[in-house]
Amino acid sequence: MNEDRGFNHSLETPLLKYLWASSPLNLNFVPDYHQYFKKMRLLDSFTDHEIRIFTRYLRKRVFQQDEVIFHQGETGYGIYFIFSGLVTIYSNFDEKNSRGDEILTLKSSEYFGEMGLLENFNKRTASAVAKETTVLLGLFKPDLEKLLEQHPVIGAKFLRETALIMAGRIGDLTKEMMKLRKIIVDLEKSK
Amino acid sequence: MKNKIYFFYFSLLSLLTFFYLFPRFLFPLGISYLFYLVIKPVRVKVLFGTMRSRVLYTCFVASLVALVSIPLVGFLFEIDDNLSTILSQAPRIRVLFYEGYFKLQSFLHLKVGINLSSDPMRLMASQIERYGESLVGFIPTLVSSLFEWIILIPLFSYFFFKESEEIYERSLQLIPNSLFEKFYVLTSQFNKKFSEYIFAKFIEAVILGFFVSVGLWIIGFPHAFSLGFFAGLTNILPYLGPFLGYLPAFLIVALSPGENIGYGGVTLIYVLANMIDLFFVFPFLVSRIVNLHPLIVMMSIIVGSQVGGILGMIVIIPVVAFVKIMLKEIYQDVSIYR
Repeated sequence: MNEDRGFNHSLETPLLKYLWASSPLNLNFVPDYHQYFKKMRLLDSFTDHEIRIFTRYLRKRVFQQDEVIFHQGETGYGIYFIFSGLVTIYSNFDEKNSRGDEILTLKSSEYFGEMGLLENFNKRTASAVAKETTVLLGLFKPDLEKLLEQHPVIGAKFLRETALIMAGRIGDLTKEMMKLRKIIVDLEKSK
Repeated sequence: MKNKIYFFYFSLLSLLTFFYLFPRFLFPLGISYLFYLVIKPVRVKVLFGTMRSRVLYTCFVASLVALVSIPLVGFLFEIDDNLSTILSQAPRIRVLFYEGYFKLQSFLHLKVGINLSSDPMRLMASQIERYGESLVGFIPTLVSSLFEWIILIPLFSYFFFKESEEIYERSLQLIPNSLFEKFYVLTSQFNKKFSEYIFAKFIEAVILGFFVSVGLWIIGFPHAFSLGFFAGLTNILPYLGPFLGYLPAFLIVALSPGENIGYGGVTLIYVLANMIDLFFVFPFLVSRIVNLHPLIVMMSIIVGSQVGGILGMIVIIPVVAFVKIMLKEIYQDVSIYR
């Protein structure tokens, strides 16, 4: 009995644990967050092992139908990944009447609130509301700090991917702004 | 959704009521938590490596507790053993103070022409005697409580080491969604600030204690290591600590005039040790964590001592630093555009 214990204990190393957890021979294997994140564009450059580590820093929160995830104008501290369910983004949302100007609806494998993770004293620019029972995986500032301290390469990779997406959005916004400016200039000229 | 909020507040209230009804747990629990915070940075490095079995965990915690408690117990027993000597010296201390004051009185009278009244001296002497009596009465109680703490502190520390993160994770599940984001971020900031501060103060105390001990030992001063330990311990208290730490050495010199020990050498060692702390240790370790105005620090210490005694004086600084962060957050929330 004791010998068995000693044998099991000696096998308890991170590498063996990882190989066992990813092995198809493992009958206890259940599809976890790892499978979910493998499909996500944001984590395209992550290896399986890196995704497994990354998921350890996420916090699971379950929201009921019509429950507000965050309000417009609140200080934001993190990014949310939709594991299951639907989330609608509103501007000028009134909680009492459950009404507001709907901007878009996000489904599983999409994410929102990334500015809250990157910016200091970020204000949420819109409200997020669960449209049905929704499971969210949140990554908040303290989790990101911990990830950067304990696994700097993975933390840096995540930040780079987020920065690339943000840069793409800034590029799109700049183009939009240029178009608008051109329209304004044309309008002023026509006057 | 609402039930979860009620349950959360009920749990919080129950916890506070428990500590209010059973304050005896509070001190060992507080010390164990402080101890856990001191070792936390080492714990992350060591325990997440290879030391995972229960036996190794226990050995690790036991040896760390012993490392801190053995000198502390030795120090308290040394005081307890020398209690009669200290008591017999009390009249000499009084005479010493009176002599000093009368010298100052006659000096001011002769040189400046100011007549100092003797009343403040009498008042001060009676206050000191009263403090002395209460201290002497407190030491045997402290020594007897220490035996209780010797059992409880390692036990609590062990569970803090082993299960604190799991307990924290589970308690986070109790928090309602509407409060979660803010609560989680603020508690994380508090934990970070608090543990960094306690760890930095511990390192600072060890460095100062080491320099004082070695310095006193080199000049052949009696009880060098106990005095170094005491200087390190009192150094945890900002501003007041260095003076409190120096007091026993000052009294030893004052009470042994024929033993060829001068004030100069001893004072120099304390001043040098405190200067090393002030210029080399404090700026790199502590000041970057607690960015508070000196006046606020002083006021906080007074409030801390009134609310929680010595322990209150130690923990009040990181608490105030956290309150500053929280006020900043609240200000940001108030100044929002909606």
